[in-house]
Amino acid sequence: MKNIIEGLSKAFESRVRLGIMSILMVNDEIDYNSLKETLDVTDGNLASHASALEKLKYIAVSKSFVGKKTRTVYSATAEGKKAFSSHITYLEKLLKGNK
Amino acid sequence: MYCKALRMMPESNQQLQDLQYIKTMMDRSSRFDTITSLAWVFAGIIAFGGAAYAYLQLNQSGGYEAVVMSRDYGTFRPILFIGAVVFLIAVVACVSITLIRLRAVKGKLLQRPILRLSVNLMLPIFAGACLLYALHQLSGFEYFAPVSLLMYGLGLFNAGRYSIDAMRYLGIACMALGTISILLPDTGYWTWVAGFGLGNLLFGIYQYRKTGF
Repeated sequence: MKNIIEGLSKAFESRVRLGIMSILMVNDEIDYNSLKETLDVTDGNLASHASALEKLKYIAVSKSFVGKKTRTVYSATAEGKKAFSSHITYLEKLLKGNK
Repeated sequence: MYCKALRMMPESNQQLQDLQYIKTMMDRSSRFDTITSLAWVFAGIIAFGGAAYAYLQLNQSGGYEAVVMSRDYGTFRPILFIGAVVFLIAVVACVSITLIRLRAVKGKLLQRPILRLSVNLMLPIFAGACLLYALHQLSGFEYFAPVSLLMYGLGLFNAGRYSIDAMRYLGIACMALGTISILLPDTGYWTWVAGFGLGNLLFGIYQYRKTGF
């Protein structure tokens, strides 16, 4: 059990990933630009972490066209929400344990 | 013992920082975009009601142009009063409707997204009120309707970022109406009705068809 949880914590090791998951926990969906603005990261940084989370099936990506521009919208999967909640609980437990 | 505590501290610091970061991100990205369309429709109807009553008052006193150009506070006071009452009723109604909805989902009224929205909406309105106070001492009352439209529109445009995106369009529409009545002060009454009455009402209907509440 502890190994599973530690494995989860590796998935969320980067601050950017923490940020992405946090925002998607409280917003049903968010578009790429709003995400980038709120997190204040570069395109490359955001794209790579989002893609990693997508591979883990923690977030879902949907692309569409608005006129000529592409619109990329992210949302958290049920699995992603569960994993992130567990991670938050894990952090809280560690915090209590170390105090 | 001391060394052990020192060794432990950086780790708990990391968890604490992570949790704080999570909370900050959640907070920063929260928008209050579930104001019910009922609130907008209600605001529009109240504005229409006030405008209808004002129409009767204005007819008794010689028409819109005469009243606002008159610089006579006594003649204008009933109109000002109607405007203030409409505003107050609309605010109270919106807050009440929001409270009722929040109670159903056990949410708090004083949560940050709502406060952010309120501040962003109210500051331009407050600025407008101050401007009107200064203005009427110089000029009379012909700018009351235009300035209130401009400031309401500005408030909506600004607050749209913290709430429903489409609010920005209503804001622009009100500002456009305000601009028209600044340039053509005679249109003040009808632009006021169009902006505060029709604008809010149509927006509420649009929201209802889009989101269902």
